[in-house]
Amino acid sequence: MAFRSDLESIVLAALQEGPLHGYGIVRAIRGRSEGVLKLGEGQLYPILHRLEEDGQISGDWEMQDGKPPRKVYSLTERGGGALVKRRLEWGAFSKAVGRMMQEVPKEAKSNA
Amino acid sequence: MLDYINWYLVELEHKLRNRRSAQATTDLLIETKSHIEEHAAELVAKGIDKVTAERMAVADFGDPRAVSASVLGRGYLSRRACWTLSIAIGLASFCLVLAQLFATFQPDTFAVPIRVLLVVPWLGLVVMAWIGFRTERWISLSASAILIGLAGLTSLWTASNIQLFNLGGDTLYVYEPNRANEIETRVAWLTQARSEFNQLQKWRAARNSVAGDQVLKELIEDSGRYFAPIGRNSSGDRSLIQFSNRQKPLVYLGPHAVSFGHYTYDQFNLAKQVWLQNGDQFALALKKDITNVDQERRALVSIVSTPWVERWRYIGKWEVTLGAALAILLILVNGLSKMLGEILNRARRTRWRRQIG
Repeated sequence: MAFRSDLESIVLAALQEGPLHGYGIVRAIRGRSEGVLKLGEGQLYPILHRLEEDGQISGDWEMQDGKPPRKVYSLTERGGGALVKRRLEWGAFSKAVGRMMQEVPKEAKSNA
Repeated sequence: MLDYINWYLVELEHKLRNRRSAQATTDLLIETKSHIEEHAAELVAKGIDKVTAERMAVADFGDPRAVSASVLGRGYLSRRACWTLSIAIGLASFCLVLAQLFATFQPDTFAVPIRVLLVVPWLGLVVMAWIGFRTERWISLSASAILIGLAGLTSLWTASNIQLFNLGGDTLYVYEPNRANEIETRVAWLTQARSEFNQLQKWRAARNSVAGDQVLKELIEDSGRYFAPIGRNSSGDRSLIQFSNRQKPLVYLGPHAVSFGHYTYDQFNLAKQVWLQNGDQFALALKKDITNVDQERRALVSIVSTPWVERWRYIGKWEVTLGAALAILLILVNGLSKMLGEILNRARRTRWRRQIG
């Protein structure tokens, strides 16, 4: 089993709490990962556009007074389904990696 | 004060221009602007001065080159690669045009491959121009314009040159359409005149015999265009007239006379007397004309048989004008405007880079 280590899953996960615009997604990722995940901000938009084209998220322009309009993205039903699937894959993957990364007891080492 | 955000947006737009839809690029630029401004505002709220905050926000967004590469995806080629590719395609296409010309000069060339080849260079040059346009490379555009002009000349030339003439069993390629008609006329005349001359010789050998009469009959029927009684019509022009009871001088009309026919038995006898008197002179006159026309024909053939480089001299003026006008038009409309835009853009970007340090 291989987990797709792209950023799409992280972006979808960031949007599960509600609609966000580009910079809001960056903030959500930074906040929820406690600053561990640092997303190249410019790299975010191609991912968003790809997901939007794929129908996993939808984007709507939001007008702002005295500021440029911004596009707010929200998770679609299809995107929600994809997120559930990716979450399961990630769970299995991280569990497997966790098991591999566990420290091996000394008795086991000597038996081997 | 330096506007980092605008600098960044111009850089990004420059890298994406003409490489994806204008609408998609505009949307991305709006999102980018909104993103950077919001990030900068957040940093300002934390107590950082505005210029530094904008600079940091721009830096966090990422190198415009990397961002554009990410936006364009894996399949994109860099501008330099596109430009190199377009030049390569253009030169290859032009070489194909030249190869086409060389192929045309080969005696055993088949027509179909030439026609197929004719399409390929044009497609190549169009691709070159398209890539040049998409990547805003004025050199590529101008080069393609020049090559399209040159290919236009050569293709017009090639297309107008595929005319074959059979001269005495040798196949000759004639590359000059205007002169080709002249050659054709002379060849047609020579072919017939030689046949008539052979008949005349035959008749001279057997004159005053039944066999000679038969040959003479054929000769008068077939070659009335060369030997005919002549008179003047009402308008005074020299023209052929019918045989008549009155004896008219039978004259040798020379090449390109119109055909002549219809005679009676009496007319034949009359003509026979004239032929008996003048046959040797006719033979001499015909032989002399055959020689002259053959020399003319050889002179024309030698003109069109010069080496291929020499033949450039015979391209029609309108072809040169058309090709040159096409090239100049494309250069002026596309090349120069793109070049100017590129120069201005480069100057602006260089100024920004210098200011940023």
